[in-house]
Amino acid sequence: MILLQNVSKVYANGIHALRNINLEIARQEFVFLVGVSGAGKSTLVRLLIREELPTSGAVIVAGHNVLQLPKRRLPLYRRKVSMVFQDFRLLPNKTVAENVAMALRVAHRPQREIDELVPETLALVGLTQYADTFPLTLSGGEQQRVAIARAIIRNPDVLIADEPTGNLDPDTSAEIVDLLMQINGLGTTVIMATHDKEMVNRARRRVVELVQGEIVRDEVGGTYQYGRT
Amino acid sequence: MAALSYIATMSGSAVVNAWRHRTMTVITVLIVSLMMTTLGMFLVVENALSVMIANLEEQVNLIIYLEDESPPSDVLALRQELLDDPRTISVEYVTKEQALERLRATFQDDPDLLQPLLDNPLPASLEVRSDDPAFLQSQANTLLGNPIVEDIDLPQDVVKNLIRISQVATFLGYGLGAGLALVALFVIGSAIRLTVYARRGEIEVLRLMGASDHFIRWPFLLEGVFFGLIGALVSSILVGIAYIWVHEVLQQLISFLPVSLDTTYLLRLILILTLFGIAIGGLGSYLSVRRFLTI
Repeated sequence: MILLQNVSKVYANGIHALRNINLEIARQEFVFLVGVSGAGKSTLVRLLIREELPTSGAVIVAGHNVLQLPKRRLPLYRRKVSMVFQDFRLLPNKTVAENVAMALRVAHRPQREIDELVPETLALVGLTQYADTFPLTLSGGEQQRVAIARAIIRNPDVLIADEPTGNLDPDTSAEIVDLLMQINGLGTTVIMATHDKEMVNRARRRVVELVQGEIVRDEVGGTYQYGRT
Repeated sequence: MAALSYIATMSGSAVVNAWRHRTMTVITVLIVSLMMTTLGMFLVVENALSVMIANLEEQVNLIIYLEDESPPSDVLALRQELLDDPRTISVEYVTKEQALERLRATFQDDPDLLQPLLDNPLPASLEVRSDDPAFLQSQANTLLGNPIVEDIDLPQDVVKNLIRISQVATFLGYGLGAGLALVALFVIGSAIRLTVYARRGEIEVLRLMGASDHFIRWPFLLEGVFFGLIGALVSSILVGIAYIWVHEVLQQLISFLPVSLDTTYLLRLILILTLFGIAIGGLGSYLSVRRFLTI
C-alpha cells in the first residue's frame, strides 16, 4: 500500500529532516508514527500527501509513484489519500454538513450521492445534530470529528492523521483514536503521527519511532517507548 | 447540461461566499464602485470637452457669401473648382432659405425677435471645410475679387488657437484617462486580492482535499465578476445622472448650437463600464487566486 525506499529530505535551510527512510505499510494496517517534535514525523506525512517532495528516494502510495505524479493528476491522487490535521483545517464559513460534503464536491460526485452519504457519515462520527452549525461553535473534539468525517466520506485508501489529538484533552483524544481505529476496522489504512504516549500504549498497534529523521524502531503491537509501558 | 449545472453550482457557491464574507464584500464593492465612478465621470467630462471641440471645429469654415443675383452656373463652377482641390474636405451650398432657417433655429426661444423681418436679408453661401488654415486663407484672398462673391468670412486666429489648445487638452485627456484606468485597475485588483488573501487558508485546505484548480478558481472568478458588475451598476447610475447634468450645463454654455442629449453615447458609456467591471473583476480574481494555487 505504502512504500518508502531510501527516502531523504533536506530542506533549503540545510536541515536533514529525514535520512534514508525505508518503510512498508500494508493495506488496512494501523500505524503510529512517534517521536519528539522535530523528529521528522510531519515531514514524512507531507511527503505522503505530496505537500513536499523528497530530496532523494522513492515514495509509492496506493500504486502511485508520488514523485512522478504530474501536476494535473495531483488532485486525483489527493482524493485517494485523506488527511486529518492537528488544527482541524475546517472551512469556517461553511456548515458542518457543507464541510463534509466538500470532500465529495471537489471530486465532482453527484448531488444525490452527497445527500445520501453526508448524513450517513455524520451519524458515524456522532455529529448528526450539528449538521447545520458552523465549525467554530463546536468543541475541539467535535471539530476533529468533522474533519475525520470529511476525510473518510470518500472511502479513501489511506487516512493520514498528523497529531490529530494534539489540541485535545485526554478523554476526547481517546474518543478520536477509537474513531480512527473503527475506521481502520472498516478497511482504511491509517497512519497517525503523534506524541501522545498513553494513546499509543493503550492501542497496542504497530509503532514506528523516528529520532532525528531516522527510523530507530518499528514494532508491531508496540508502545511509545521501547521496553516500557 | 452538466456544464450548466456546474456553473450554477459555482455561482451559488460564489454568492454564498460573498454573503458569508459580507464585510469584505461591502468594502470591495465600495472601492470598485468608487474607482469606476471616478473613471466614468472622467469619461463624461472628456466627452463634454470633445463635443465642445467638435462644435468649434465646425466653425473652421471659409464662408463665401454669394451675391443674390449670381448665375447658378457660376456658383456651381466655383463649387467644383473648390472641390477639385485635395485640401478641401467639403463644400456645402447654403441657400437663402436655409440660412434663414438656421437663424430661426438659433432664436427659437424668442421668435418675436425675427418678426420684423419681411424679406429674407440673408445671402446664400458656400461653406468650405478644410483642415488646412493656410489654404483657406489663400482662397479667401483670391475669392475677394470674384464678381459673384459678396463677402468672405474666415475664422480669426483666436479660434484657431483655441482649437489647438483644445486638441492638446484632449490629448492630455486620453493620457489622464489611461492613467486613471490603470489606477482603477490596480486599486480594484488590490481590493480583490485582499478578499482572496483572507481566504488563502480555505484555498490550501481545498487543495489538500484534492480540489482541481478549476474548482477553486471558479467561485472566486465569479465573485470577482459579481463585484465588477455591482461596481458597474452603481457607477452607471451616478455617471448617468452626471452626464445629464453636464449636458444641461453644456447646453447653456454653447446655446448658439443645439446639442442633443446623446443617448447612444450614454449607453456606450454604460457598456464600457460594465465590460470594464467584468474584465477587471474576473482578471483580478484570476491573478490573485493563481498565487495560492502553487502548493
